[in-house]
Amino acid sequence: MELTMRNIVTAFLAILLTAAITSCGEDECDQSLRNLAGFAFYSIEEGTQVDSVIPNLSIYAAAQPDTLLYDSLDREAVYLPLNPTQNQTRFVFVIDSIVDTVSIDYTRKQEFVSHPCGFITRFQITQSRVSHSVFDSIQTINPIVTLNENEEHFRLYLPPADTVADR
Amino acid sequence: MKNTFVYTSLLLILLLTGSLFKATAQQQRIRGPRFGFDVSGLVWQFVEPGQLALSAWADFEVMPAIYAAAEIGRLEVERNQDLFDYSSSGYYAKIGADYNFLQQRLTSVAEYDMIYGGLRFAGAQYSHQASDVMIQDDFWGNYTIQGRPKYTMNAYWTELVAGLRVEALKNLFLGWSIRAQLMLYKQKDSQLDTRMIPGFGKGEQNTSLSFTYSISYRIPLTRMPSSSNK
Repeated sequence: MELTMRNIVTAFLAILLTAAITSCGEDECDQSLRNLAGFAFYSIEEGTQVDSVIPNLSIYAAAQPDTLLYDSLDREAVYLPLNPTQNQTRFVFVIDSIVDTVSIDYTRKQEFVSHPCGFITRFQITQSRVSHSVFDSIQTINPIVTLNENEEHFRLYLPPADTVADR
Repeated sequence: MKNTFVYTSLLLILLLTGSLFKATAQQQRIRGPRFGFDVSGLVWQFVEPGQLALSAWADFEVMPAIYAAAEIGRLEVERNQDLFDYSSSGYYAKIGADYNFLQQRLTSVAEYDMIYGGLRFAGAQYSHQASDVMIQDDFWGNYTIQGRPKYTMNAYWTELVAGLRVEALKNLFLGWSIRAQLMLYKQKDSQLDTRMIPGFGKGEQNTSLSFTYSISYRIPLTRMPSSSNK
């Protein structure tokens, strides 16, 4: 029956077309996979926390001293990549040639983002320390570092009597 | 889809006119289980090479114009890409009934063409895993981790089916159907998104629309003599 044959062919093509259209949604990764740890600078003035800007700040990771993450910039906050292959990352902050090492300890876990984007590392902060040559102390505000856009994870406090701005 | 409807309508008209010329001697209705498979699963092989979909169904006319139907199938997905390798496999089963709206209009009991609507209740069990996961890091360098080990899930949904089925040769049927699916319960993996649910469609959706084309054969078990013409 000729009409049945044409019916078969038409329906076959209809399936092919539908399948082609529905599978055309093979997406690219359309989001940022940024999972940097945010460090904001504060000083205590008359008992209250005040945002602080550090001028002429340079930062590098202790494991990669030849690559500067920040090069002589004025910053109120910085965003740094934690090492996903180790359980600790040490960052060296250089302010007016005085060096302070900030040490962050954490545990790591893989986290699924999406099929086009894949996975990222999710960090759970266990400890944060400073070497006290510039910074008074460090406080962990948010112990989870995952996908984020300029989120504040740590607060670095400058000593009140000797703030950089007074120099 | 427009052409399919055009050809289907033409086919229907031809059947209805053709039936006027059928010999009145044939007053027996053949009943028997009908077994078929979904041809559209084979089409997927070309569109998505990493996917294997097999499906089979059966139905049986329990009462005039009412068919009990069941389906089973298997889906295997394998997708290897730079970021990670993904594989999943699972089975599904569906059970339901169809009603033939064309039954009233057929002039002879020996005609089996259908324009039908039906319902299905479906369930699937499937597992998936991710391996060879590469995490990108512009500063520290890309590195590979193990991935997500095999995880098993279930899902249940209902379907509304509408379609056409025509007896092309004696006891051999060809048909297509369109299905609207509504997810009832879907188990999720918090560590990895499901790509495809066997028998349903995309794992991220709760409703789905699909089109199937099938070939089936009815085993002529019984012949029911009929006193009245339906």
